[in-house]
Amino acid sequence: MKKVFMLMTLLVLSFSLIFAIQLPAGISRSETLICDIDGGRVGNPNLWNPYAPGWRGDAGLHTVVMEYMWEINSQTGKWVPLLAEGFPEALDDTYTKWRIRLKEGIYWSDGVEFTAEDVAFSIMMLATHEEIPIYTFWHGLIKEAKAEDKYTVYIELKRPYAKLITLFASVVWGPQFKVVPKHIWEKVDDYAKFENNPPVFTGPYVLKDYDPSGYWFLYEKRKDWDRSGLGKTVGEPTPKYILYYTYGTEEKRIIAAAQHNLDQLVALTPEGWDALRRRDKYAMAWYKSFPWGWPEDPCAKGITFNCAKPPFDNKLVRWALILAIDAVEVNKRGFGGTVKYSPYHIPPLTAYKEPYFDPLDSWIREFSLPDGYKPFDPEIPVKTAKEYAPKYDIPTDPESAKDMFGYGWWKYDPVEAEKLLKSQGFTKKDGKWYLPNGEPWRITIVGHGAFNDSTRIALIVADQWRRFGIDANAQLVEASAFTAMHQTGDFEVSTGWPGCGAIADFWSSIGNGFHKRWVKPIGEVTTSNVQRWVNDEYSRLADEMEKYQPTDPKVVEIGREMLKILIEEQPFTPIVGTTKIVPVDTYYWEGWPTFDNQYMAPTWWWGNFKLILPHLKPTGRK
Amino acid sequence: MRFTNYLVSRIVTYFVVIFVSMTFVFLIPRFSPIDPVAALIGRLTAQGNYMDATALEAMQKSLKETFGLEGSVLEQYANFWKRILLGGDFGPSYAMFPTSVNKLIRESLPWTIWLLSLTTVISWFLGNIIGAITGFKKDRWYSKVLENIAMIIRPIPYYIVALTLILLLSYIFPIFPMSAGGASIGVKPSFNWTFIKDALKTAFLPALSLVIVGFGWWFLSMDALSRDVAEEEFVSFAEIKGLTENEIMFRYVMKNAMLPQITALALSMGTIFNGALITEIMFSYPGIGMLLYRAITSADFNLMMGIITISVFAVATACLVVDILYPFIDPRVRYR
Amino acid sequence: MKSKSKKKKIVVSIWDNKRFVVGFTLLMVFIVLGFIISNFSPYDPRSWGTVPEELPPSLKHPLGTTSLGRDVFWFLAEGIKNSLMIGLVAAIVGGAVGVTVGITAGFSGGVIDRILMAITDTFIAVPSLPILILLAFLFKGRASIMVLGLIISIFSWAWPARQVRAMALSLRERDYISMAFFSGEKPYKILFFEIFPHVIPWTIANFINAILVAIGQEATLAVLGLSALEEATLGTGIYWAMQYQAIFRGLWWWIASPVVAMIILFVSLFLTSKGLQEHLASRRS
Repeated sequence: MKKVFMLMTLLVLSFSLIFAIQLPAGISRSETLICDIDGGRVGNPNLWNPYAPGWRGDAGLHTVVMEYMWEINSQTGKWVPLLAEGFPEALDDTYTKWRIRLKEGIYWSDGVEFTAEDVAFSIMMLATHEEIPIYTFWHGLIKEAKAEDKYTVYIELKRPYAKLITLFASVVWGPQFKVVPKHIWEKVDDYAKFENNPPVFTGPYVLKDYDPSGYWFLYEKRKDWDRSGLGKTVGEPTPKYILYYTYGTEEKRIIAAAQHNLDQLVALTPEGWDALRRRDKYAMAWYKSFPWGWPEDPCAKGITFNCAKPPFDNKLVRWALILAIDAVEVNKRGFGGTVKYSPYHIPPLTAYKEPYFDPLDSWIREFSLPDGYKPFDPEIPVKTAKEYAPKYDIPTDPESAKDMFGYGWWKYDPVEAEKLLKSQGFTKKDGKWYLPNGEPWRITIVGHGAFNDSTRIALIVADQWRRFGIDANAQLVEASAFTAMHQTGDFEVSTGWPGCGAIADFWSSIGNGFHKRWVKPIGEVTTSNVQRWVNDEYSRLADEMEKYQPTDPKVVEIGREMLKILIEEQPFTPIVGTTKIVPVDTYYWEGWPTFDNQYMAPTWWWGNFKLILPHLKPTGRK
Repeated sequence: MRFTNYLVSRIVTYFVVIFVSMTFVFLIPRFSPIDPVAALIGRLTAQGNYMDATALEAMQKSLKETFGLEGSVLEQYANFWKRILLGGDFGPSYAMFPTSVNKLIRESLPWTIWLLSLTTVISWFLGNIIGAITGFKKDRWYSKVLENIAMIIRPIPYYIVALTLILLLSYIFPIFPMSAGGASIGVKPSFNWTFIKDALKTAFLPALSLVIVGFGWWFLSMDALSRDVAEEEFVSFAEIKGLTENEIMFRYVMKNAMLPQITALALSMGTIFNGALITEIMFSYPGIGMLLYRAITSADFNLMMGIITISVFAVATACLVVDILYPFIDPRVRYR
Repeated sequence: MKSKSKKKKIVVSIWDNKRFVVGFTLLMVFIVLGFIISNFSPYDPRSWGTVPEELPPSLKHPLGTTSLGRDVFWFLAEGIKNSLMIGLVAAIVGGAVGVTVGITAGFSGGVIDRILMAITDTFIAVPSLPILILLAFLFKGRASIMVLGLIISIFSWAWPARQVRAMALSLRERDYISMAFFSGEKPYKILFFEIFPHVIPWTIANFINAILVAIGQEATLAVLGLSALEEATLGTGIYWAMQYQAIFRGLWWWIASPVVAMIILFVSLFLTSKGLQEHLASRRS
């Protein structure tokens, strides 16, 4: 018996030595960067056409193979011209004629030179081909695009459009426009069905091999990487090979990273990160210590009201519900204290401090409801800092707390909430709320079952409202139902994330998105303004904002007025910003962007990931 | 004559069942608050694809056309049958447009079939043989131990079993390095030894988890069945006849107790076409269960119908086979 | 002599069956815990933040507390109650429908048999998980414990119905029942006095098995996030522990409690059912 036991132990030990992931022959681990796939397994790994509705960019296609005209450095909010030279030049005052200059000396991965002909062809392809379903918008916009010379593109529009660059430049994740090689695509009959396999683009990597089941994708650095947009602009990307690999569940990704078989992870839960950092001394997140994550994700999370459904059409009712939310608890239970509070309707980004948050700070502190009550509470960040100070040794003075947890949020004040509701005809009996018509008040909060943030906020807010005396519950639905219910207005309150933005000009997101023109009756499908919030002044300001280029200072001026209206009206209420805990394992690769070295944002799943690659350094471990 | 009558009416029922099931499955999603176009737009906006409201509105309209979702439910229903009957085409997948549903199923189904048929058969054999022994020799110490083990394993939720195996054999003792997919990186499906060896190794943990759980189930039911059979008169008669214990066990007890287990096996083989969702999620194993789950969450009606149709066919066929063959196996039952 | 021993067997008390005694005692503990003790919970077990977080088991919190600020013991007590309720509803509804359909089909034969079996087979052939997910949408998260049990029972009656029908078919061939039919005995009398007694052991086994399957099914739905997540059940207990990575973070009491409870509950039901069957079998012989 003893012998058997010894043998077993020996066997186990000998096997334990085989730790590392098995790579194909000829590829060494120290030259390979292993990346996580944001959306998990790729359903159709043969599809490399970025204009097919079912395309996937997160498994390497848009992060290392494709290049956008302008990438964004989301840490600074500045655009980096990758294929283009400088910025689009408006040729007239009405913004209908434009010129774009391209970089010289960039080649497609098959050796053909990248020129203005390719850009003009790609634009006209979008503007004339009906079968590319995502781009019907372009049909109504583009009149003509042509190559003036080898590196200059001339564009003429059917109507004035000051925001042209936002179609070509990545703002969040990636832009609508992806340039394709004319010499390949001009031979295609049906663009929607074209697989584009193998993909030919300008990026520094080419597809080497992939799993027919869609679990892994291997890319190799181009020998002529210096003829890619990245090579021309930033420099040589370090890893020779990049492997995109999806391990599946969070548990498995944690184990893989702890075994150094995954160099970079897309979004862990705070608890998942807690588990990883205890096991892996090489694991690292944005901050060295608490609150760990990268707080600059471009969408704030919170609750959305259906303003077409009474009683949520009454802004004082909405305000009462907000005052019944304890944001400190949301942060603690939902996110382990790792997120920033977001009182504004744009996410709490560093890029927004100067144009919006600082100028509006005194206004928001003095902002009052019609009865004179001042709802803003700048002390909330300090409360959270104090809560975690004993455990993590973080400063608790107001300024540091502000940096870490944002400017503040709305007071948790059930007494004022009660007062507001009673003034609107609601009654409270035996601790339960009744609607003005005498019926008990029931609220269903719809949450997105596949997004942790959305799920947790829905469940916590429902719990808080129950304590306040409303029969509230959370309904978690899958992606398809979540969007469909929003579009048709089949919800009361939900936990979505309409408050997005990354650049000072938020016209394309909450500006145009909350215009009254999108509002449709309940039951009809609307793609934007699902809150069904109608505000004439806001819509007028949005129209005004549309007239200026994104870099125009007027945009910010108008933007501040729009934010004031949103705060007064609260058609949706962001609670916290999104902190992405996107850890890396530094066993094989160093040089990742962190809080102490903020050259880029840790947005591994965005197109701008390629901008990080030249900064990576191998540690030399085998 | 009686048999022919029975056969004809049973086959008619078979087709009715398939028709009704598929109509049912066709209608339910269309009356639920899910919509493929909304799902695709939701996915694009959720990953942060920056698209302004005007562009989104335009996209919504044209996607509906591209997907062929314009007509009434009745027209879509008629179209569905037309496509199926004229060549078994389920149309394009919506979530992975323009890839066809047939192609997606063809890619995933072999993995499911090979993993699940293997584990079902293994656990069936193990469960039945050991169950027959312990049921017949119920007073031996090993019977009691085995029964207690099975009793405890059986109720553990499957995903806990799976997670424990992963933690134990991939993390604490990394004997089976964690992997995703049906084979290692760079190993492509083909008929050679490298692939088969690799595929076996990758499938080991998921298979082990399925066998553990399946074994508990088959074992407990066989144990109970053979206990009952062992009480029957013909067993006592055989004892009197002076047959050895093993002869009685294999020739009388097992043979008789096996009958309902054969039926159950046939049905289990039918249900493998549902896939094994939790296995596929926990072990990142390719298969039809995850494909179906994704189809539901992304309101991919065509893909949903494709997979469910196969599954309905398989289960209904298994029922048919059982009904027709059972009276041959068990003479106590007559056709009616 | 022979009749005497037979009589003696009848008198044998069920309490002499060891399996039954162990199973039944455990079951009673669970029932008392779930249906009586859970009412004395000092806090609403579902509510978040009622106790300090992540405390290991102690005298004050016998099974520790969770990251959500819930007391594991009281959550578990409530969860046992709700899981048993789900199981009972599913087993009662599924069993009643299944036995009725099966016996009706088996004894009527002809067209009625064909129609009933076509319906039954349809419910067997349609995979349950996708339909359960779609049904969950229709209830808008208001699926109470009762409704959850009913939803699960939609698919839990079909298989028993098939088995009962098969049994009915073979019973029908037995001489004494054919005799009763030919002698013009009223059908319901045959049903109750001649047939039911034969189905009872099976019904008990099936009933208990249905409870177990329903509890397990709820747990599967929960891990996919499709159960009534705001209610306390054994499934949601596991769901939350998994969501907050209880295993990796050393909060073993959080994940172990519902899993162990599930095992003991199963074992108790299993032993009770076995014991009862053995007892009935010994009485019959």
